[in-house]
This record gives sequence, C-alpha cells and structure tokens, in this order.
Amino acid sequence: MRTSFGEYLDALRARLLDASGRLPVSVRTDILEGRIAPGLLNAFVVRVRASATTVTPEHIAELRASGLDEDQIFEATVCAAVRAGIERYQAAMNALSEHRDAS
Amino acid sequence: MRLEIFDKKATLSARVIAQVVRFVEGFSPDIIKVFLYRKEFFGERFQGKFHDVMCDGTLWTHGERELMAAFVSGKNKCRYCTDAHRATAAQIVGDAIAQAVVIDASTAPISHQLRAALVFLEKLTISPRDVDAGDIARLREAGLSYEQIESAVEVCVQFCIVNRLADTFGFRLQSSKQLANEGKTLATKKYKF
Repeated sequence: MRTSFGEYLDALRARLLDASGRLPVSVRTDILEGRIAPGLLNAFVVRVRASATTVTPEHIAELRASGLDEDQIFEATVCAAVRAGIERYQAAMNALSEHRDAS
Repeated sequence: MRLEIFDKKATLSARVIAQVVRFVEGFSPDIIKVFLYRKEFFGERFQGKFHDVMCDGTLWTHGERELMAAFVSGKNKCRYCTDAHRATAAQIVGDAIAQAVVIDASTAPISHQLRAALVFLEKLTISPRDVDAGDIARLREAGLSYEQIESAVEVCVQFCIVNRLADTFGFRLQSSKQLANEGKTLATKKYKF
C-alpha cells in the first residue's frame, strides 16, 4: 500500500534526526522546526529556506571558515530545504482541513 | 558544485552509478551525486518518492505534474529544475505548452483545472502562510477534487525541497542536448531508476 505523503514526510524528518551525522541532533532539530540555529549557520539556513538562489560560494566559504565542515553544511542545507517543504505541506493541509470542516 | 564531498567522498558504488549514467546519457547530472551522497541520510528516501508523486495514479497525468514541477521551480527561480522539468514536460505534452506554462501559465493552453492548480501552487510556493480555506474553495469551484489538490501539493513540496538543494549546492546548468536527453529519460523511466 502506498505510504501517505504525510507519513513519508514524517519518516524523512525522523531519518534526518535519527541518522548519525556531523551536526548535533539538537541543531538538526532546530533547523527542521524552523527555530534559530547557532551562529553563522542561522543566517545561512534562513537564506536556504527563504531564497536559496541568493546563496553564493562565499556564503559556503564563510561557513567553512567558521569551523563547519562540508558534511555539516550538507546536513544543514538538507534540513533547511526539508523544513521549507514541510512548511508548505502543513499550510496546505491546514487550509484543506479548514475548508472540509466548514463544508 | 560548491561542496567537494559529493565527488571526493562519494562511495565506490555512487561513482560507478555516476559513470554508468555518464556512459549512457553522455553526462552525469549533479542531482544524481547529491541523491547518492550518504543516501541513507536523505537521498534514497527523497528520490524514491518521486515516482509516486509524479506518475502514480490518475489524479493528474504525468505531463500535468511535470508542468507543475517546472512551474513551481520557475516560481522558486531555480533555473536547473525549471529547465529539467520543462524539458521533461516537453517530451510528454510538447514544447509549446511546456514553454507557455513556464512563461505565463495564465494564458497557456492548458485545462481550467490545471490553471487553477497552478494559481494555488504559486501562492503555496511563494507565500505559504497566506494560503487559506478560500484558496481551497476556489480550487473546488474549478472542479478539483480534494485528492487532486493534495496530489498537486505533493509535487509542490518535493520541488520546493529539491529547488533549494540545486541552488544552494550550485548544480551545473545543462546544455539543450543534455536537457533533451534527461527529459526523455524522466519521461520514459518515470523516476524508476
């Protein structure tokens, strides 16, 4: 039986938190929940979520210079991108639910 | 790409797959490297969902979903994904319609239902916090079932994720020939690789 999309997103999110990674689970959780991430990472994560087309090689270099390695940048980017997807899914499901309840 | 790990820390199997793709298609799209990198962390599950979202069932045709993908990617200003999915849509519904949807969906020769879905997806893509029951009501008035609305949302969500990866990691843009080849592959293999 096909997994529902909501179940898939939950599983995706759980995997990002359960899997061993270079970023602490607490940081990955903060990014996935849309909370403030530590230090320079926060500005980067906000940029990925809100306007990824404005990310430049210099932003990546800045993160490296601050002490983050590429695996940490990879994990932060994936978590931020998935957060953006989850936000849109939740917004749509809330609107659908509201409409169904009112109908 | 902006992170060297996708090449330098790729597993042997990932390198082999990338080489096979390069041999068959003539090039290896950067997206493959990202999906294969530490695939248990993200890529395997995320990439594995695309067949369901883009091709499964009859709520929307594959071509309509590729148009949605190209459209959402355009609204996210992701050139890499817009090009790839416009090319895929072109293989299925024709280049004229694919181009028209990306340039101006309001005048594209598409169904009333698809046009209504795209209006909604634009709002969901750009300003999700403003989406409300009124938007759903308009979709229902346009004749969309709740299931069709959910299906369109799924396309939007997948591409809102992958667009951000493409732009942050700096995927290399593809030539017209590469896009045509990739479009043929996605149109025929339907994301089952």
